[in-house]
Amino acid sequence: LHAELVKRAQRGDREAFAALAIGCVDRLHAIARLILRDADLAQDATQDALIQAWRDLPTLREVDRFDAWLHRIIVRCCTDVAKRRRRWRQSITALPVEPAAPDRTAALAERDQLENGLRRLTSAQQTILVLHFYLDLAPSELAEALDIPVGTAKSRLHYAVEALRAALAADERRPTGVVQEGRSA
Amino acid sequence: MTAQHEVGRRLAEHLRREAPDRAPTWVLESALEIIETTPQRRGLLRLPWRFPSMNPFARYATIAVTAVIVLAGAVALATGGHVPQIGGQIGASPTPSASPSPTPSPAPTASPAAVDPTSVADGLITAWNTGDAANASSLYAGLAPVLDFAIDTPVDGGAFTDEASTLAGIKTRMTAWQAGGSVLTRTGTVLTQGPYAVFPVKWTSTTGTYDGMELIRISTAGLVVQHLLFGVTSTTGTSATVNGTTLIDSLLTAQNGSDGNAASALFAATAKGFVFQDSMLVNVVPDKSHFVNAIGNGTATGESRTGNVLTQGRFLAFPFSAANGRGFQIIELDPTGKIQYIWHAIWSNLPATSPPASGG
Repeated sequence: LHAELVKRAQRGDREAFAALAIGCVDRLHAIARLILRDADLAQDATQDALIQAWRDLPTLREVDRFDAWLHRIIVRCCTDVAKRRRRWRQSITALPVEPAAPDRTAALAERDQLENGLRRLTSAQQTILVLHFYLDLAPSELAEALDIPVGTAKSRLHYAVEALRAALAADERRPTGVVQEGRSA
Repeated sequence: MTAQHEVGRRLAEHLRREAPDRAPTWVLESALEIIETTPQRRGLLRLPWRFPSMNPFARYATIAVTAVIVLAGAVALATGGHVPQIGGQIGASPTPSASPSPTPSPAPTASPAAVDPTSVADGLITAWNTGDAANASSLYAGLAPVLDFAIDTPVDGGAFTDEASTLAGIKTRMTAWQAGGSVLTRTGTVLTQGPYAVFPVKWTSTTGTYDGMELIRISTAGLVVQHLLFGVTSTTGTSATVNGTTLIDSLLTAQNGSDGNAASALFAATAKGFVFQDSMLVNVVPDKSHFVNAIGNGTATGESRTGNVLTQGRFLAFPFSAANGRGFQIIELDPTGKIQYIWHAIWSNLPATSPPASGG
């Protein structure tokens, strides 16, 4: 049924594409949200990805690779949106993250620690981590989604995990109760 | 390796917790709406490109063919579109052409890369910040003359939608997040700032003919993803007078309100007669901070208006900045120039507070 919908959408059937879009929009949005870490930008990227998918669908040669092809599109849209964000927000200063309160639960502390660790990675590292650990994509699938050789995907994934591990370790070594840089006590 | 696996396990759990379950409904709806008028790309030539099945011979052949095409194109461009004949002239001799001037040709008088913030490029579009403005023609091309949508997400609880006005001469006022079946006419200048563009627009719907402004947001792919219409129907003309300046379908330019032209008078009027209050800002669309709306009077804090002013009838569009972002301020006046309504469009959801000074 899925392949049939893709074929119909390739021939210009908008209803078929709408059915496909309904089935994938939440997943695309989740991927974009995790990569971009910004709700508004994730919505933009998701919308752009759906429109690009519709436009370029006739160029998809293997209909059974529709999902992998979509992943490539959403990654590309996230990259584009992130570039635009850097340009637009030059004049807007982001507020610093509030320092962790001492009575936080372990779950919240774990969340903050991982979020802080992810923020220290490059966008390429964040992207490959999301694709691998959220979508469970294998190295060959990562390579396809990112348009890079398989060896590069394996290497990038390894170094991304290692960078995150190092960031988490550095965070754990930091003594608690210290006010974040730039904040008055 | 164990440490890496542990990090991976923690990350996987974290991502599953953090991933939103559902996308906002407007994302899908808006995408499908755009797709309704978006054609698919259908390539005439479908060459294999970076597929696993592509053998080295095919890859090199593709590269060679592409190189030849690019080279031929470059030669054609360098020769002014005349591709040189290969192997000498055959048949009739070419038509005599004017001989080239022995004097060197003058240098170009203007560089398109240098955009004056107050210049009107292409006669249609005004760049506020260099790089913000796209080609005006492409902006117009992206807008369908008939918008097939229904008014939804009533602005401020519906108070602004087809509101009966008590103001003399104005029958109804419309603010539409989206409008159904309206026929829009867009002419004149486009004012852009960031991902937003403002068009002077007139439109006809079942409730009347409106004059006003159309605000659009353009996605990173260059597609129009949101519309917001502001307009009124009027029985006493469509212009207003501010400090002796009659506003009607014009673009006024100013730099910092100090060049003494009509826009400066508007800015001065803004300072003297128009008062704003940040606390009036409310979200037009729940959970979306792109558009905020203000109505009423108050004391301005943290707002500044510089640059160009776009006018249409009784509407003014100012590029403005506030503590919580940059965007447009669209103002509706009464015929005497008294401010009636103020709308803001910004693209930052940061709170209207200043970040703490670094270094404690």
